[in-house]
Amino acid sequence: MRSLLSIDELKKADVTRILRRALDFKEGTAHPSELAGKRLINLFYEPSTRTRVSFESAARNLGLNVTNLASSVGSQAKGESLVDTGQTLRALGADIVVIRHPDALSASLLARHINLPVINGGDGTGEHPTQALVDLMTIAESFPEKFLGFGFGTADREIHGESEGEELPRVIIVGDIRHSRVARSDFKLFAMLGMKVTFVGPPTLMPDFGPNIPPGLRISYNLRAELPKADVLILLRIQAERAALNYIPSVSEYSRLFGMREELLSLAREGILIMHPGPTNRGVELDDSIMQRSVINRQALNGVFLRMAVITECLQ
Amino acid sequence: MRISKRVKERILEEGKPAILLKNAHVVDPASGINQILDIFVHGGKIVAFEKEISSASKLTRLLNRSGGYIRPLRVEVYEIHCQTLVPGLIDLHVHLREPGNPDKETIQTVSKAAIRSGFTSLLAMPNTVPPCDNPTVARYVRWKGEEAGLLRVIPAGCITVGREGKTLAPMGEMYLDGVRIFTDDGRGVSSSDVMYKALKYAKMFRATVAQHLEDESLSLSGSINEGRVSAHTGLPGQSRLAETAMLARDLAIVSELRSPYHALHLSCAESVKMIREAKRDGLPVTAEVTPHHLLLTEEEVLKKGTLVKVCPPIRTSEDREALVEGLLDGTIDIIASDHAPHTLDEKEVEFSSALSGISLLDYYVPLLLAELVATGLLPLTRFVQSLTINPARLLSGRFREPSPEEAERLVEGLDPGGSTGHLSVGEAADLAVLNTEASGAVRSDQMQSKAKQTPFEGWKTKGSFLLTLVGGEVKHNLIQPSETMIL
Repeated sequence: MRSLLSIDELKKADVTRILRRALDFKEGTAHPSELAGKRLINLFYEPSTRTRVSFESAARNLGLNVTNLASSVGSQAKGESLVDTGQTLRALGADIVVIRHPDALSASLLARHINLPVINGGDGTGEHPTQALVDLMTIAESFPEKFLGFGFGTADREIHGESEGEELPRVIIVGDIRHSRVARSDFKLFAMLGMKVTFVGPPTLMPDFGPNIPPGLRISYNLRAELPKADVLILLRIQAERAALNYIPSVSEYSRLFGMREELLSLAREGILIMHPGPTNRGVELDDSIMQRSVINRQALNGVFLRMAVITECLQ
Repeated sequence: MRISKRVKERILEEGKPAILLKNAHVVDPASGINQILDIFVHGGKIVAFEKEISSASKLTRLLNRSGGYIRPLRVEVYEIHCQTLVPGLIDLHVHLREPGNPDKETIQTVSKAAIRSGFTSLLAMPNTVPPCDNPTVARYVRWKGEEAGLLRVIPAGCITVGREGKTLAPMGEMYLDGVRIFTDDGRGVSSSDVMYKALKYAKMFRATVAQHLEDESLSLSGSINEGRVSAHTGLPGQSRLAETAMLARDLAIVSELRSPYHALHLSCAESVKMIREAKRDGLPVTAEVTPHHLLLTEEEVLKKGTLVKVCPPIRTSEDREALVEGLLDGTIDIIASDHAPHTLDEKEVEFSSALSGISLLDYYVPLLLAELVATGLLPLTRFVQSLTINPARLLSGRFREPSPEEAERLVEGLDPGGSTGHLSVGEAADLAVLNTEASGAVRSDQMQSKAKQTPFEGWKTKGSFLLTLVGGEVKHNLIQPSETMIL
């Protein structure tokens, strides 16, 4: 029994195991029934349809009962209400909790106060570990030769961080990295495996690492120059509030400088994998044509299987 | 293939002539050249500058080497008689008042004033009506400059919408369209957060943010420097802290972000000191000074009244000395006029109501030549450097070239245009020839600017601009070609 709060807690072996299990679920080669009847509670302090439904589908596929709790939170009462809520959840007979909350590190806070496995479903600008695992799964599926052993016919199923003749895919993440829990978890996971990551976006929306940026990371403000070097392009949504706070002059200017559009494809490698965690703003970070070429639907599909694997992992 | 005589005559008549400047004393601070040379210009560009290239065969050889030419080609030969030739001058701080205030000045009138003083590029400050806080107004300013057809008018863009200091202007859109310098000039950006975000945002461009240093909570309604003269006359004075407090804050931000930063029109000794230290610490900062801050002190108010009401105010003789020293030791990189024309009605009123600004473009270069260079205070090369290569470097976006690794990460925008500030074969021929010995005086009735009132009326000048070329075309000339060759 364990929680999944942050990518920091995972080792390569854990990642391998989770992805392997997710693939088994996707291929229909695994049917665990020992979890049937257990109860999963979706504790969502922020509205979210995609993630909640994804966890719910995953849980039901495993035979779990699902209860959805939407809670409003007052800023002073936050800490208290999470603790109180912890007691309430036990009383409700929860076996595992998925939490989404507007504050970073709130998933950890909850986990400390209840004796139940907690899955971080996205805590503010903190992390979204299951999404990162979904992204990795999607990338590995598209570049199977670079990720040995995802069950493409071989018995040995280790994920190799270093290249075995094949260099790992290079990823660029474009958007409001600073406020993105998906980017944060993605980078931690990709860096763990030795993949090279480039953040692209305006300087005001980059994280401030201080004098030393983490190894394996590159920061650039020039999308056109970086596109030819990337195997994977992850696009993030930009929120209108950022313009109101002067991080950018306007969303339309952001789109002009960093929006991915069809014309730019000629700069990119053929077969570049275009991803987006969703939901998308068509016409801002991508246009209709890019949307069609993206694997956003495959990501959503993988999301259910990946979450089945994580739930199984956490309840064992 | 032979062409008819009629066609040849047409070509001669309608083609743009090449230009040969013989025996010019070339002073090019960027390269260190300081010698008598001939300069050959064709197709808008410098073809060569060498010793003795005046023979037809030599010229033909040079033309063929540089890509050929259409025959027959007329060459206008000017005998320069060892007068000084410099790269075309650049004024990095000019209020052209267009759009919005054609009664004060138009781009046409200011171009006429500037071309006669050897200027080939001007940076248009964005406090127009409407302000230049979007690419449309920037395009308009460029177009009006091209319409005037004299020199290069390059627009600066606002940092914030309407220069209100609240929301970032579309700097990216403007940058993509060729704007490389951003300022709310006329106002400083009060909010530390807005300034921080603007400097941080602009890091992705090959651009510089320039600050009009005035904390409005400190400058209040001060008309002149707070000091002896304001105490003596009772005129409300403006504390020097209005400039220095904002500069201290800005330098703290620059130290954190390492974004390129330019301090406009410094007026205080403390400001010079802070810039000197910032440069010593390796920060990417540059600074400019105006002619009036180099020449005048607050005492002038007692003599000239509102004619010397400027923003920032003219301060004490200690400040003046510190500014001159800053120019000498390189702390101050650029001389820029802050040419700020107003109508006579706007100046001839009560002190507190009078608008700030002096009309300078017509005469300030010969004025400074007399006051600073001819007196031996400032070497000619240093003077020329502060009006050519140094402003040119800023005009291209960043004073310091980014490393190739850094450049790769920056957003690319259109070339801003603008004179290069140095002489280079193959580049646009923006040049000025001047007689450094000609003595004269500032005469308001000879000014081209619409604003003819000046506190410098009657002041002695030295130097007269004989010839100004922009893009290889003669745009101003007091001398005529001595002969014409046909190649």
